[in-house]
Amino acid sequence: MYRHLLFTLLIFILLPVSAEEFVDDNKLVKIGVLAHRGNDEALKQWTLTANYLSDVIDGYQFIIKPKSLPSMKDAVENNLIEFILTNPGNYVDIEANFGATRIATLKVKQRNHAYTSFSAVIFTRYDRHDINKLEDLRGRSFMAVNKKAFGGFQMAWLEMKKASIDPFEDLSDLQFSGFPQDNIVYAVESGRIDAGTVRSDTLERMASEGAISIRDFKILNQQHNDAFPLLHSTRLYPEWPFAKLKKTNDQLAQKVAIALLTMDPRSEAAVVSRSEGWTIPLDYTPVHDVFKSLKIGPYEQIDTVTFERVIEQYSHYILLVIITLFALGGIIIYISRTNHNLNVTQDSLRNEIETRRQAQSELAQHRDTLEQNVIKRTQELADLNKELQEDIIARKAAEASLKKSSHTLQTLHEITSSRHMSFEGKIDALLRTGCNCFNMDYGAFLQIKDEKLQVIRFVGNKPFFKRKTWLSADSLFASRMQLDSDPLAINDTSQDSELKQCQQFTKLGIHSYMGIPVVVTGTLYGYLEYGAVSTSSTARSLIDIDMLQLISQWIGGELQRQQSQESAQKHQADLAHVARLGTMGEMASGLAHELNQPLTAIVNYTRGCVRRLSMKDADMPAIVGAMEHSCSEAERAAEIIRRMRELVNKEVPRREFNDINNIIEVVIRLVQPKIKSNHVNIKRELSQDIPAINVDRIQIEQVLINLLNNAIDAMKNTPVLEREVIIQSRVKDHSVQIKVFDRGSGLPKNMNSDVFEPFFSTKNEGMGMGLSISRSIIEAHEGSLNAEQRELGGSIFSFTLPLGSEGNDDRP
Amino acid sequence: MTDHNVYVVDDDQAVRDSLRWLIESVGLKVKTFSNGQELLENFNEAEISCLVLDVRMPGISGLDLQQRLKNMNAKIPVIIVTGHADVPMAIQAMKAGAFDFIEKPYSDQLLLERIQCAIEQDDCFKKQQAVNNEINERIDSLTPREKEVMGLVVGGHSNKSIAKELGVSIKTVEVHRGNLMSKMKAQSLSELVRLVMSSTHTTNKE
Repeated sequence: MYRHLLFTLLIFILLPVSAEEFVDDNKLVKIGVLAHRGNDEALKQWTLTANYLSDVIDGYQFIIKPKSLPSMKDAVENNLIEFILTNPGNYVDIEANFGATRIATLKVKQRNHAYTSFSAVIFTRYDRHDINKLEDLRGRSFMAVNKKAFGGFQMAWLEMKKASIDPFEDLSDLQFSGFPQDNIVYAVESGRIDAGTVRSDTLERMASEGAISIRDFKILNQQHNDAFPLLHSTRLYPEWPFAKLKKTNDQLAQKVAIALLTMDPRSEAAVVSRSEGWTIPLDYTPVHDVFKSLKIGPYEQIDTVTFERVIEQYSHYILLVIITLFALGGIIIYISRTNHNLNVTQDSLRNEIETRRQAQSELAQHRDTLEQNVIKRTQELADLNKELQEDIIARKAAEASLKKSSHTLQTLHEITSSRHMSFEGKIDALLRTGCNCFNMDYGAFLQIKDEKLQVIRFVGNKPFFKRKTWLSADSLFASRMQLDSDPLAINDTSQDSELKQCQQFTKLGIHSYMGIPVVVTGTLYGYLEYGAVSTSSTARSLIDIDMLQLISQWIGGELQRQQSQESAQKHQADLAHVARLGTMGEMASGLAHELNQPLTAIVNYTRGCVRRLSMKDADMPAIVGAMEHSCSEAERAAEIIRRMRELVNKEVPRREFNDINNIIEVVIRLVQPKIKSNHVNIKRELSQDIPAINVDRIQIEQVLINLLNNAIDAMKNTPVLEREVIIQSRVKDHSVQIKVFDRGSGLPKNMNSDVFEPFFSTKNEGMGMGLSISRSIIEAHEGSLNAEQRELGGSIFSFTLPLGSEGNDDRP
Repeated sequence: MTDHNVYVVDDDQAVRDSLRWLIESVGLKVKTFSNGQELLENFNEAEISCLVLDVRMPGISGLDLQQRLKNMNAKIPVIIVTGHADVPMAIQAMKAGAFDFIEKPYSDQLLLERIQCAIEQDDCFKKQQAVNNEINERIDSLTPREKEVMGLVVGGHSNKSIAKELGVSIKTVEVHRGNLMSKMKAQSLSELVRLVMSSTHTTNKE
């Protein structure tokens, strides 16, 4: 039952797939044929029948698929074929397991006679006088074609069983030869095997082919039937059926059945298939009977009920029952345990309730004492509250002033960190904020220039002075404000004996004043000042002074940052210029290539013209066109030269005495972004006793940048943790020696000197000019640039610069 | 002469067009390609007689392209043209079997002369190849026995010793020998030897 269910399930799963396949195959119909005499023979025998079906039935093409017994089952199971043509035993098996339906039975032609049934013949050698009936086979060797072959074994098996012989137990040896069956006949003939069985007609056929002589064999259990004149030892069984499979279209099956039944017995298809065509399907129950009594094929399951079989078949249920029993037992034990635990818990709970009761009465006593204490404490707290309230009033005043300054600070922060305001805009905003914070009428930022003061920025509710006004320094209080002066805060200028004289204040009527110096890079840059017409009633708080200092410091800091940025940009520009000069060489080669292109084109065009012109029938318009092209190429060349000239800017390099370690530090800082992004560790081994050397700083920086860049690039494939560059400086033999060590791929073999040649490069990008230019620079400084392989991997680039050389500046 | 196609590969259009102008002035056909990929896509070995190739090109470089053609077993003469020739590059090109290596800007005389030489070499090669194919076809038309007899004849054996070697009569050997001489279209023994030698020579070479 299980197996049937499984197959049905399988068929349902495969159903949609195979249905599609059928359509995809363009109505290709496959007939699985049991190839009991080999694939070639099967094809030879049945292909014409398939062709006949293709011809008769429109819209379908039939093909033969030769199958062995196992592959037949496989093909049926997986719906690879639509029809089967097989022996009755195989058919009954498939019918029972997969639901095949026979639609015709073959009329086998044997020596001008057609048979719709067949049998098996059990035989031995004629001269085996010891074997005369089936019973004599006990203890003998026996050969059949296949355990599952119906005519080839199972028919004989049933006969042996009737004679109380179990072929698997009672024979001395049971061999299965496989197809073709002729082997069995030869084996018996040669005496290798005592007896054998083959399908009826096998002996007659072999005899007619001249392979054997019938007289050499003795037939056991020979049967006689007038309608079946062939040698046979068993009852008759219907011949091979042509069957449709369960999934095969019924209408198609009907058409096939009709076609087979109407097939001309004299047609070539019938002749080749050694038949006289087909007849209506016969009754295959005798075959079923064989299987039933042998308990094989579809009836394999029918057997005496033994304990082992029950265990085997119902093991799932038995296991389930056992598991259920175990589970029940487990649950009972668990429940009884829980019960016990509950009892114990109940007892302890009872005890606890008792203890709680006692504790509760104690608590009641405590509560009484506590109430009295609370009354006492409340009185104390009320007194304290009064004191606190007084305190709070004082604090609030302080908080208000703090709030104001915090607000101001917030505003300052917003102004200074704004991204949308310009520097000048920020100063104006700061001046305005100061006015509000300090209650002043104006704010101004003044710069000292040549002993005079210029108003740079001004903000105020009255135009006290205009922007860019020059003020005489002596007319001011400048003398009182030095570089490191504290901020000045005067409540009433008329009270100050010195300031009373100051024209600025008298003229403008300013009475209240605050001022502070603005310092940039350690020098006095100017002042920041605020003033008001009215006098200030109270003294300036420390917060106001702090605020003033904050504003001035920010302005000073910002100015300093701007200045250093400018100088950095200038340095960068210098470097870029050297790089440009350095790339001159590189450019020269690029220029050569670029110029070569138009020059080549010009030569080609003009030469082509000359050749054509020297011929008789010159195509003048074409030549004019070529000359035009030639001209535009010449213009292209001129354009390239113009571009090049723009790039070159003559400037004589300058030499000064420089600290080499300082140059190294500057270069490391310049290359820092690359060092970081490549995770390189820089190690400095700088000697501190190196005198200043007379070099062109920018050029030496360029060389060092080159070497550092190369070192970092060389370590692209080095593990990150090992990426280290050592920069070493020291004095050696009256010169300064700088070495750059890397842990990279090292120098290409045998190419130590080539690396300095123009166009030499191991990098994919770049022209390979860096080291060549570097060497020119170092040689111009009377030094030398060298490369060597590092023993533990990597390379060392080093250069020397002579010490104390008084460089001559008119060097190129 | 007019059937000869010169392929020009250069990424610079002006150079490409001007080369076409120059080469067409001596009556040759020119096909131009702007890069190696384009050439490989339109490559037809039967049609091309000479390839003029610029070294410096984006994508597949001239030398790479030459190597690829070599790997494809294409036997066309390649003339490499370069803006800045250096020795290693020239060596690489020659090792890969370049027909010549010319530096830009070149004289038209030199270039055209080299192209003509290349075409002649290609013609010669293609003719030789046709002859070899013909001989190989003749050899293929022989029966196995005739081939066996031919091997012994060329090896200097007499009819008698061949008969002994193959275990047949002298008459049979004579029949085979007559058949194979006519199939190979050889007038004399020495001609047969020459045909066989030239065929084995090229077979070995390939």
